Amino acid sequence: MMDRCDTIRDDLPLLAQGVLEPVRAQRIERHLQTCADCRDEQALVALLRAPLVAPAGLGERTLHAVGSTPAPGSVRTWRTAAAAAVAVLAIGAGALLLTRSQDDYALLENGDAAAFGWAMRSDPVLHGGVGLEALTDDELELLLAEMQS
Amino acid sequence: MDDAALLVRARAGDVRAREALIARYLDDVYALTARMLGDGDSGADAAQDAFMNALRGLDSFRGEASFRTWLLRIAANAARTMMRRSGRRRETPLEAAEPLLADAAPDPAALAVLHDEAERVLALLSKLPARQREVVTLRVTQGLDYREIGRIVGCSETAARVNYHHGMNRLRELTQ
Repeated sequence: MMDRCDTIRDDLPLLAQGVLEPVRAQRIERHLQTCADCRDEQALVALLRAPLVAPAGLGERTLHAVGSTPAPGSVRTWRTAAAAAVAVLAIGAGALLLTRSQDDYALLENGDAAAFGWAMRSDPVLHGGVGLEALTDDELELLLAEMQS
Repeated sequence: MDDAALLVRARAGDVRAREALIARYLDDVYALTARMLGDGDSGADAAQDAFMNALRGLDSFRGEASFRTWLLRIAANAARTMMRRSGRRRETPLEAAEPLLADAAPDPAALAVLHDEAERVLALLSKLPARQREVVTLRVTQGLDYREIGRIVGCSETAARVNYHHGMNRLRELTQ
């Protein structure tokens, strides 16, 4: 009797999911009519299956974390700001940079700099290797002058 | 589109395919990690880690198990890693329980009932050793067979079955 109950209980989660063969499901239902212990376990299975739904936005958050799409306000925002500063210089050089998306910058990180022109390839700020604070006074003066012009 | 087709596209960098895989399995992964960790926030973080690890390591998926089994194994590992990182005790105090349900349930009365049930589930599962909690969760909520569960938690099919019955017996004692 105990073995049979164990076998029945093994299948209760599958019964709850509705994936058992109809004949097997009917046998279990018949057993449940006469076995209070297995009915208790069936109630426990039902309780444990209380729905847990992923929080709203977790899917998008996960996709952003994987790096497939740009995330507004993500940790990469500083890179956008740096790119905008460099873009001012690039406009002066005749390069078109401002319409690029963050994904394009990700491509740049992977070495696909050709599409961005000489300014992107040569600029250490956009490459992420050097910050603005690393520029010399003369370079900063030049940057400010070009931004103001 | 089935998993195999999505995987081919996702491996090639297709963002839509990645989105589809996440959408398809997000609730399954979250249901596992939240139950293993005992609260929704940690469960969400672990679910995110799991998808990051899975989607970045798609090339290591060889199709020996289903993609879902492979993903749930990664999710269980992510939850275990988070558990170790946080030094979480094996049993979570009841008063530390946080709601596991999403915030966006439409009917407040229904939400309250589900919320109570979710808290009760959390409290019950927290009384089990981690291995039993994991096996019970995989069997009851995911409907996996013991062989698959063994693959995920790293034990034999027989050990998975024994852990399941021990866990359920303990839970029945707690509810009587």
